[in-house]
Amino acid sequence: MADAKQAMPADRDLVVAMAAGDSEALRSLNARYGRMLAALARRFLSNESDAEEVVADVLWQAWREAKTFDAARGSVSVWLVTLARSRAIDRLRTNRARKPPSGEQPASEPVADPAVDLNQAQRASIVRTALAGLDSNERAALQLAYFSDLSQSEVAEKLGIPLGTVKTRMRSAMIKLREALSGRRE
Amino acid sequence: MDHQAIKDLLPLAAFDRLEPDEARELEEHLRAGCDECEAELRELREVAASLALSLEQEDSEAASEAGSEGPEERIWERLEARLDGAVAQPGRPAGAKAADSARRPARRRVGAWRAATAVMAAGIIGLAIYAGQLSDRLRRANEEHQQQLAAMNSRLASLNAELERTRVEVGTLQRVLGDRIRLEKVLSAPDLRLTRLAPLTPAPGAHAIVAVSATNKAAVFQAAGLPPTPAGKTYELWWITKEHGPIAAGLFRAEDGHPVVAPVAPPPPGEHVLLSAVTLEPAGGVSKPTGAMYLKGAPGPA
Repeated sequence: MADAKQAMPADRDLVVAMAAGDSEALRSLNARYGRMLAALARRFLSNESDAEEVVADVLWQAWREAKTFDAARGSVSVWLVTLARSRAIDRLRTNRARKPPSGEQPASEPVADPAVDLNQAQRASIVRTALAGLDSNERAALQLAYFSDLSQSEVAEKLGIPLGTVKTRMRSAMIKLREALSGRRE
Repeated sequence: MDHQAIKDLLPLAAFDRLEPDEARELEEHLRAGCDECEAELRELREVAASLALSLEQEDSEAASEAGSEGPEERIWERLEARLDGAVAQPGRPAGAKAADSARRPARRRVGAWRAATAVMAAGIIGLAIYAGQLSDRLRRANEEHQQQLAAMNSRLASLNAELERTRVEVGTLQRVLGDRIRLEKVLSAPDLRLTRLAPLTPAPGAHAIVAVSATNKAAVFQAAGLPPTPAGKTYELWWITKEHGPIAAGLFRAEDGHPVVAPVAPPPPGEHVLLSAVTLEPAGGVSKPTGAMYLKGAPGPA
């Protein structure tokens, strides 16, 4: 995912400003990614407040660790998404440990806000088109593995296919997705 | 594991979905300095993260229908509260709001001094003593609460850990019970067919039996004396059929001194099974046998 945005500060510039103590940069980063991260967290957590707390934790961590952010290791968006997914899975496991499992299927009820950055929407559209281009079996394996805390074996069990097939489908899906995304960016 | 095998792991690594032994192998490979794999993993992590973007549009589409406020505002409220609270804690960047908050105590001190000139000295002293006592009481109460909170958090963490252990234990017992029930069901089937597997050179003390019930569409494998499964490997059972050669029937692990009982896939209907065999294969299994054969046997009479 590219950081550059037309007529807007790049993600990296926002992180640099955050490192210098500029809370407005944190506010901008939240405006840019808050909704997407909340949507991701809601895939794991049925409680909307939990999902928003996870995103607040992620952005707070970004605020505190802005000085040590290393752009050479990956983009800001990947950093935030990776943190959000990991924290959402942690929260899900903690919630499970507190109460008996209720056969939960991660909820994805959306929340509204009409103000969407056009650039972000275009990137989302490219990803969705690329996903739609995948074989349906590959897409199912990929989405189940990414939007859940299931291990490879558990994904295989859930889809009723051998473990080796899960690996093959996920590998193939990721490679196709990479090709599709790099083709659309050019 | 060679370079190509490691490269094959990268798409799954981008999801943090590697098995522990695979993750270890990849970590060692990267630590050894493979720039190519490191760059590819970085790129694939970008691809994986882009999946989250696909959610945003769903959100936006529904947002325009629902017309309610987005989560950003509520998230920002939470962050603002943290920014306000962070001012007294060193090592954190302080924002404009936090800086304002930092100045507030100084303004209050000036105001208090001006007010003090307008009241009687005894009143001031009395108020100061009272304020001091109140402050001490509040500080002690706060410390006590902090200690209680820490103790409760610690207790909660240990209870959570205990619950997690119990959950794992129950899961294991349920699996074992399920295997036993399946075994009993197969063994009591009227069309039970047994295949005895004899040991080969790698495991001279091993022996096994596969029980198949075609009507129940079930099969159970039981073995003893197999060497413990090495790291990064798995045992795999095969049906060797006249029509299609070896067909994978299931994976299992052997532990030292423990007999193995595992549900396996029965032979596909219509296949004529010539032999059944067990081989040692890479973790995750393979579609055709590649490793050493440990056990082998022909099906007994129906």
